[in-house]
Amino acid sequence: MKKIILIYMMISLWGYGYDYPYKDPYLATVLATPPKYMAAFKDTSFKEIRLDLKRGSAPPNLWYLDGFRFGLMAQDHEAPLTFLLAGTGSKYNSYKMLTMSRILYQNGFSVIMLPTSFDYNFIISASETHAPGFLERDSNEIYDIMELALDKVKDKIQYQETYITGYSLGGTVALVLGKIDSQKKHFGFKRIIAVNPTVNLYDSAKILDNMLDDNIKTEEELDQLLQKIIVGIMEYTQENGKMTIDEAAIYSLFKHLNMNEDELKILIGLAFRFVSIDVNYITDVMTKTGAYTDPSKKITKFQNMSEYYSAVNYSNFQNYIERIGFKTYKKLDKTLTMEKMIENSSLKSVEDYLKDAQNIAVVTNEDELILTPDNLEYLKETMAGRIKIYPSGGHCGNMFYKENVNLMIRYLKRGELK
Amino acid sequence: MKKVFILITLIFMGCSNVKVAEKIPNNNNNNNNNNNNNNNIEKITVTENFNLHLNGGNSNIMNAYDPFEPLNRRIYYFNYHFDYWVSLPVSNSYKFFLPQTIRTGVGNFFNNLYEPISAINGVLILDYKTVFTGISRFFINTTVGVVGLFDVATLVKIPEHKVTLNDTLAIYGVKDGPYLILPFLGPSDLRNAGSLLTTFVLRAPLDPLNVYAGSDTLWKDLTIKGVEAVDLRSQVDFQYYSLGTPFEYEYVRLLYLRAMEIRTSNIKEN
Repeated sequence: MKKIILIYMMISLWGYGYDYPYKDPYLATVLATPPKYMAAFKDTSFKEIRLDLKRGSAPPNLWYLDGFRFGLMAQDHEAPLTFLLAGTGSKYNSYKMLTMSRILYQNGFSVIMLPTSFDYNFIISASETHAPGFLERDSNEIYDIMELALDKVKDKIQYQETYITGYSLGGTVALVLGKIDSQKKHFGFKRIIAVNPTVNLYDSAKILDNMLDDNIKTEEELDQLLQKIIVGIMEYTQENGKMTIDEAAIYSLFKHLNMNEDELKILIGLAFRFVSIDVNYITDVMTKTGAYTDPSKKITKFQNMSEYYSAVNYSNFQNYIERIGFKTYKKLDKTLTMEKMIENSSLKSVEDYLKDAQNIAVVTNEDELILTPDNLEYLKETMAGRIKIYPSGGHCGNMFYKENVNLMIRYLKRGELK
Repeated sequence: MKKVFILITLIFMGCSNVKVAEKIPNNNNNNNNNNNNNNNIEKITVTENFNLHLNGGNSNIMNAYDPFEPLNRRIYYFNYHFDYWVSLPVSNSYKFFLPQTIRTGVGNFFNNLYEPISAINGVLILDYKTVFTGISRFFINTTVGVVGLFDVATLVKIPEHKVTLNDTLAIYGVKDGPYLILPFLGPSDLRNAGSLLTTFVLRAPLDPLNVYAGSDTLWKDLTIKGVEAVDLRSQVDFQYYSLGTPFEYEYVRLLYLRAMEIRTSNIKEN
């Protein structure tokens, strides 16, 4: 009995004092942090910079994705430099990336904003195989690009120390980059912090795939959900006048829509599925695998895409790996098996480094959606003492919450994780 | 996630058929907590559509009556360039130089000019509420609201109830026709495009404030419409090809058609 009371007290004390508003991980993931709880930052602008990597050009219908692009938010004086890595499918200047960069800039950093391997621009212009998913290979490509990017902006920034920050897949990649740099020693990163990283790409993708596949079976249901959102927006605008898209408006809209947990799961799964559909199509075209497209057929600039949408037919991330990713890697390494590939796309492949390195830290949540219980346990054991786990926040829901940001900045500046 | 909402908002901002109150009973999607404080808010429901399949068969959610698709895609591309080189710089300067209060006033002014048109459409569809709302809003906002710069009518609980010629035609059974991307304006369909054109041609007789003078001063009228367009563009947080997805044209079309479908079916049942 005493034991139970003790455990209960420990749990209560542990959760005490963390006032991030959404205790439900699905709601947290969808709504993130309300503006009034967010860390302060100004609307700093950034420069878009192009790198000609000569690794491939976009097909005519995807002309707008041609040429590798990254962002720079530079201080006008000497300042620590951090590379910021985006999550799956995120552009370097997505809302989350821009907000995180501004927060880092506000705290005195110059920031190089980079996409990671599942960004469409990256798949087309930066990836040699045009088929991301092999964590080590992807990270090596990103490492090379970081070198080129830094060379390109050298005269625009003054810095002494370099850091890496990344969230979601970007967090995972940040840790692998730490390992690569410990061998290549080009940057000598002072500290690396991974926010809500995934442990195993496939485990996480499977969870997200299932959120849609387990909860929706037909396109009618999808259509009904879409219509429910449209109706919600119509009613919302009717009641509140014109709707400007900001965090507060999206929050009120969700309150109005009154979605249940299954619907929230569908919405999260759907956001990920949109990325998977695009990745399936783009990699198929770029690798000429022929899973959904006919490689011999000429693609035009104003290509009708409906038939390809129909051919991709909501294929998920696992479909991409089976039909395109694995086939592509198999051409490079005949001995490769699916098991080996999955193993290589896990943080376990850099376990020794994770255990030893003293300049790395992980921030995640107890209710993180993209980690299995085993994944979370693995992180706790491996990162012992260099991990901060918040009681709530879902996947990246709380990353701009004041307390989270303060901790991240304290860690980057002073190495303190308390 | 945000992309989905931006896209949907685009649909509402990009066409003339915005913000019509649509009434249909038995809507179980609502939590109804808004009905107490505003009886003018009416419910909207989804439409039934059962010819779609996921996974088990071929997807056909993207099927649409779009016979001019090759042309539409080219206009979509043209609109991107027009937007990039003209609309956005102008709209950004507009936002930079004029504070929000003034921009709201500009928006209110143009909305007020539309009230008589709503009222006339109300007469055509025999909906006394629309007529009453249109006339009273126009009267209040033109007088107390200083030629429409302030939306006083909404403050006194007469919210906007915009009904377009497109809605009227839909009620009288005119089909929407093929999907169109209009140069400069974006997603539309034949019926909607015809309605926009007719409303523009009839701008002078439909304008009691005499802002428009008719065909004699076409350029002056077009300039005024241009200001309205700049104001509208400044409120839309969307850029062509910004979603990055290869299926952007299809997603925009799907959302436009669904939004219109919901609107039309709600209006018909009203």
